Amino acid sequence: MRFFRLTLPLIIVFLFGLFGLGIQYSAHPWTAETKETLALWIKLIGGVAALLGIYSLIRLHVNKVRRRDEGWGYSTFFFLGFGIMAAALIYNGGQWFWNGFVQDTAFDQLYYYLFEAAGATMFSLLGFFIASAAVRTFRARSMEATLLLAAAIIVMLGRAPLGEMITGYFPRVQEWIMAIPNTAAKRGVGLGICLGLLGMSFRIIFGVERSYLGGGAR
Amino acid sequence: MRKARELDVRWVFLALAAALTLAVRFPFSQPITPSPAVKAVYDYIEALPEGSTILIATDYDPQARAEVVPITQALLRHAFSRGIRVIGMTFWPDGAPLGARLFRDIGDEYGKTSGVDYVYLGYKFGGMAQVITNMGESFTSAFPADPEGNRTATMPVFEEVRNLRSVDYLIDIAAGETVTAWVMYGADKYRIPMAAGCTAVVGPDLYVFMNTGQLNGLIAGLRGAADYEVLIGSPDLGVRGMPAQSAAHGMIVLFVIVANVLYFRKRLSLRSRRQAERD
Repeated sequence: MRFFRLTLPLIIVFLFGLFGLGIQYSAHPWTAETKETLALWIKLIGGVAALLGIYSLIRLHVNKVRRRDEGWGYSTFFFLGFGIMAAALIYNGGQWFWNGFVQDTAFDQLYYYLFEAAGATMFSLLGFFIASAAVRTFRARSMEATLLLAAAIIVMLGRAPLGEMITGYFPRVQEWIMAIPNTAAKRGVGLGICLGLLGMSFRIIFGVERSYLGGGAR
Repeated sequence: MRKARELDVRWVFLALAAALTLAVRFPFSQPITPSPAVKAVYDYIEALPEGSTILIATDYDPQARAEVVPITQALLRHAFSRGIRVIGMTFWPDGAPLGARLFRDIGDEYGKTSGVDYVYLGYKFGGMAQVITNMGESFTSAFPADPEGNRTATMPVFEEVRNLRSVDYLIDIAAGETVTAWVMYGADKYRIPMAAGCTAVVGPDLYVFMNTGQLNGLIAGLRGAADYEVLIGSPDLGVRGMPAQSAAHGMIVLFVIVANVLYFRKRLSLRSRRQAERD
């Protein structure tokens, strides 16, 4: 059992990891074909994963409703939303989903007047949370915090015509902050992330990192 | 007294809502000077000869519409007004109907025909690298049909523009991290000049590509859209949104200053109390 649960997956990951890495360094036509085949596999796995996701989401909400868990009423809206949108898309204005997408159907109405409006509303609430977070956290407690506070104020004013009304320097200084200090920080963080990813990949390929197998590091 | 030293966030929400409502209800005029990053995109499209082709990827979903729809509209207006063909597609499944509608509406505004002057190819499932590479070989094999089921092989727009190499300008309008993949697998690989449009949150990430020249321009957020609308002389959602943006940003700055004043007052009173206790 241990062989199937641990050794075999580790062997597969090791072989495919090295193989996937190796073919990136070859210009042979066979490797190009193999890359396409692997990309197809990824698509297939993605499709199966999507189905698995839908199944898992449905199961989660079915259990919530059945057990009358806290907030189970909201789960009924999941079934309503999911069911109605899926039915409208499958029906496709009477042409059914295997034909080309038909415009101005029930799906369009639901998408434009419900999904789009609800999505934009949710996103716009972010403005209020950002305002609240800025007010609560931007304090000139130290030199670094003061610098951050000053940069935030300059960028906020520089990104709105209000800053330009106060002084023409705001947009210019804002542009400088974005192009120089911001880019320097982003590059540093980006390089760190890449090195971390590289390290993690090698840990997985060589079997040091095994948490993806489940059951912790055992 | 203790309450006066701390700012209740409910007042922040209320003041922000009031400022936004007033700014939308009673808009005021403000100076809008386009930034160099936005002007670079405008200048590049302006210099393209009539009949050129640009690819606009609408990589966003309806949540980000307030910022990215005005950018898309302004770019489409500019391209169509100059007789430039536009190919559209997306890597965000949720955004495909939104992108299709924008292309259709702006196309109708300029009397353009789908399949001839523009085409919106919709969403393509699969890894970005794979799909972009497929487009690098052939648009019609990467997208055999548009979302309405029309065969791309019979579309006049693809008679001259066979693949990504034939595209004169690439613009990714993003609400996420798609620009990096477009730069890596599209612009750099096939040597296509590229620009990006994005939400204001994504903007700071893309300055890295601006510095290296991998992006020759950037239209970030609603302000970017307003800049572009000013440049093409067609003020719309972006310019109309600027009073609200000014009001919101001004209000946040004001509250940050007030919160800091209260914080320092509190610190001073604490210090003087401790001093008094010691004495």
